[in-house]
Amino acid sequence: MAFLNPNLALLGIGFLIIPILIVLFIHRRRLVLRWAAYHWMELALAKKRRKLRVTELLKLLSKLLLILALALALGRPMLKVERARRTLLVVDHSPSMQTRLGEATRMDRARELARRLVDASDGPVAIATLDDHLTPLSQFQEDRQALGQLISTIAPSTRGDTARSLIDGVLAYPSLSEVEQLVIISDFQAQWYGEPEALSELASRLGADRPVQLVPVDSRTGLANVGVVESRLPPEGMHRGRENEIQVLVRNFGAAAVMSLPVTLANDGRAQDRALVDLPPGEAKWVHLSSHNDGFGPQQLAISVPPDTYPVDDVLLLAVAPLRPRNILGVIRAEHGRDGPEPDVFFRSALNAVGGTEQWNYRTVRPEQLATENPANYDVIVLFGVPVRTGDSHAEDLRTFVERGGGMIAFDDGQTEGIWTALGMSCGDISETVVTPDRGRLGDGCFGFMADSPELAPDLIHFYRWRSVTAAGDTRALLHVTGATDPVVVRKTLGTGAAICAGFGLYPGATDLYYNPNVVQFCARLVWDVLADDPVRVFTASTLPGLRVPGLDRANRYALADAKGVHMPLRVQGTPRRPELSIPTPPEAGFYAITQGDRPVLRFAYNVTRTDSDIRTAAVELADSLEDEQVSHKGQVGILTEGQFGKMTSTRELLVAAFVLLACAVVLENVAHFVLGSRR
Amino acid sequence: MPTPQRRWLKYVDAETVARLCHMGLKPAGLVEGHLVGDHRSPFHGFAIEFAGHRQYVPGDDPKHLDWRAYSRTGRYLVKQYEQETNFNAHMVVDVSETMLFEHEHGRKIDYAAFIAVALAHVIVNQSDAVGALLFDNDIRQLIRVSTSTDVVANISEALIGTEPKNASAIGDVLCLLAERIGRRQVVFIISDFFADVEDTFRGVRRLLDDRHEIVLLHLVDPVEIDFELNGKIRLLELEGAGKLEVVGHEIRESYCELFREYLTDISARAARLGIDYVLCRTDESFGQHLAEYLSRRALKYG
Repeated sequence: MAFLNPNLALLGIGFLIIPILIVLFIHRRRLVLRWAAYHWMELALAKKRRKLRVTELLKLLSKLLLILALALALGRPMLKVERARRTLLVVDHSPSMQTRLGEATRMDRARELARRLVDASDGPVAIATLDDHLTPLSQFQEDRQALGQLISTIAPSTRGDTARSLIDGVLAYPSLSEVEQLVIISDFQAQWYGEPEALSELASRLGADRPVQLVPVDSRTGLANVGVVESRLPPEGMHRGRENEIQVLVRNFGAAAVMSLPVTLANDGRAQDRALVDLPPGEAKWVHLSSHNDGFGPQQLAISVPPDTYPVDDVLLLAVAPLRPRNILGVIRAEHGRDGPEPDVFFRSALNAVGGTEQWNYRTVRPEQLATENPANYDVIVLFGVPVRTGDSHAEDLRTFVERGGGMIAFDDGQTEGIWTALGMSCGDISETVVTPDRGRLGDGCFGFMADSPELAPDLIHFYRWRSVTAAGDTRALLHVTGATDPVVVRKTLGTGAAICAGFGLYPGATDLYYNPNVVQFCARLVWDVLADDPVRVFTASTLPGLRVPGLDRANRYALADAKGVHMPLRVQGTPRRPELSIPTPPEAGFYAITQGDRPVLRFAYNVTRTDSDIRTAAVELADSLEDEQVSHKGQVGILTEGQFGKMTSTRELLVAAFVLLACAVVLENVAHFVLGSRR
Repeated sequence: MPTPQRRWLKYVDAETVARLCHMGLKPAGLVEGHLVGDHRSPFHGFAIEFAGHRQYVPGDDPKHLDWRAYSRTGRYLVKQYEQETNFNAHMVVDVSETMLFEHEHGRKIDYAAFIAVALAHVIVNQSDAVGALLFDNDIRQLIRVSTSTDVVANISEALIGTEPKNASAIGDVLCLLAERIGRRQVVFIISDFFADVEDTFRGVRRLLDDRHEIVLLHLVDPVEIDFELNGKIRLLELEGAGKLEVVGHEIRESYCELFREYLTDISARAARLGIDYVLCRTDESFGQHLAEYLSRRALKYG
């Protein structure tokens, strides 16, 4: 058995003297009596002597075991049967590690995980950092304190990492023959999404007896998988008082193309330039950004790409997929006069994200082509900056379309009043009545709103936890501008259909809205709200069989609970290493929760209709479940979650708890002994 | 504080003695005394209490012939009378070293002295004679029987002046006593009886052979019965050099069981021999014990 803190273990063993001292102390405090009935006492003692000796021995043993437990607890024993492994700990410090996770960054999280891993590891550890090459920071050593200090010095790099840099770096590691285990702490955004083969190659080259453990610091999905690979300052250096051109190599590591990706250059925290790039999968592009250097002294330049700027709490987890494929028609203005992608890029991407082309039949037309289309063939018509005025021929078509059960979404950066008027609907109640959110119903911070800017600047839009805000009548304001009288998004029913008008446009190039993970949910929610009353399948996170319960443990009891509180026990299946919860198809549409004991650990909706759509979409536990998601890899590779390397700490806590209990028992026994012994 | 002349009053509890004297003490059977008294004697003669007639035999004094009976029956009959006498009692007090035991209720030797003096008072008060014998492994002191009230003071003085220091040999002492005191007397044995039980009753049986009435007054400290002591205790042997280390609550059950067996054994043996046995716990008043005993005795023997 090895100890993480052998000195403390020795100290604890030194405590073994305590029970001996206690015994001596108790023995000194005795009553002396001249005894007449000595003969009978001798007989009694002879009769009991053997039993008393055993009892005394057991007592002393229990006390010694108690101290031993303390010594073990202090020493933090490694209870693994296998011998201590020599671990190479690779910490990713590529630029993508600067992505924020709430208050901290991925780098902060990686450092914390590294420290915990070092504390929990049972053998010598060497540390290396990874960007475009592997940099050894220390030789194998067991001094946890020194390793912890070393970890604290790891700072983000400006050079991006690749799968090749990891493989080459590890294989060229000077002490590779000594490495018995490779642990990689990374966001795995750059290397591994879509490239698990690279990891398999590394694992196979290391051999089966040298496992590779991955510790993901951010397992969110659906994010733009783009990173800054390299940046170059002007060859002549930065000069004050003029524009300095900085080149940034941005690469798309993901499997999907990204469009109009905003790359922002900030100087001393102030955004100075932004460029939009389109990146096919796997490709990299040089972006030219300029920085105006006005100040004296050192300046801090920072390059950021989404989703760095979005806190994790903004992630909404509502996924909408129709039961049958839906036909959506996008109407795009021809003369928008901009280069770059079409204005429906956000919407299209959103549809891809929440259902894909299998679920959504999406096509676009120009406004002048709208007359040739039969609206009856579509479920939803989306207007992107296309004006609808009273008297237009397509205005009447749209009105008829909505009245017959269709859904219409109109993005317009002007007043939405014109659209409503063209559709023959009154909006006086909208302009006159400011829709106020029902905070009592929504709870704290659970409604969407615009940033508190006096201007309606689309690139300042942040979608916080999304909730509907219901006003009087049939008006439903989905977004609300603080301090303004114009509701931003208004939904009205007309006949059997519904229309939504958004008072802003999703202009590519003017907003990084798309790269905000929330916009996917936002667009999905617009479709959800504008569809007719047909049931649509709603899952949170992913598909029903793939629902992941965070911290799934065979020892716990799980149940499927419906809104009425009826519980149906669930069985945990799978292997001990990969337990899976067998979730049956819910008996009816509704909102369900998977409970562990009485505590809900996962909520989801099944086959609910739009009228039931008041979903808690940003429940904290769902965010937790996402954090627990693991990336699947091939080869001799395992995912090491925080809970797994924290088990040894739990063992110590158990020992400490056992010690405290035993100590209480022994102290009580001795106190009782002392008090009773004092009674003469 | 009694003056030296009144030192013997140390063991006199006047109130208790007065109460006990009122109850009196009668021997259970026939006694052989030297003086005329209130108690039945085994001897018959020509005194006051008519006992019956017997056939005249040559040698009888003709003056004892009952001529009235001769006139009625035509037979020569002689009148018989019962002799009444006093009784002699002996206080046999154990002064061995175990009688020094004390815990919370005083020394057993003092308790024994109070009992002996009180009983002596009662006996002398009813014109019977009382003596005393203090013993350990031998007869330490013998006080001859007397009807004088001085004998009480003598017994008390003897007990005051005795320092227990030897082991008890009660069996041998009782045999010695039997050889010295003749027959049909009352013997009160006041002791903790911590000697060998078999040996003790060997002496008792020797006394019974001489038709003595024996009363065992067994003195026991409550702690010796219940052993209500906790924690570590070092026990030093009173009649030896032995030492024991015990833990009170651990040994209590086993010890108490053995000690009760011993008490039961003594009382059973006494019952088998038809002798009175009084267990005197030293935490209770000796007067109470004696009063109960005398009361029970009065009921039993009239």
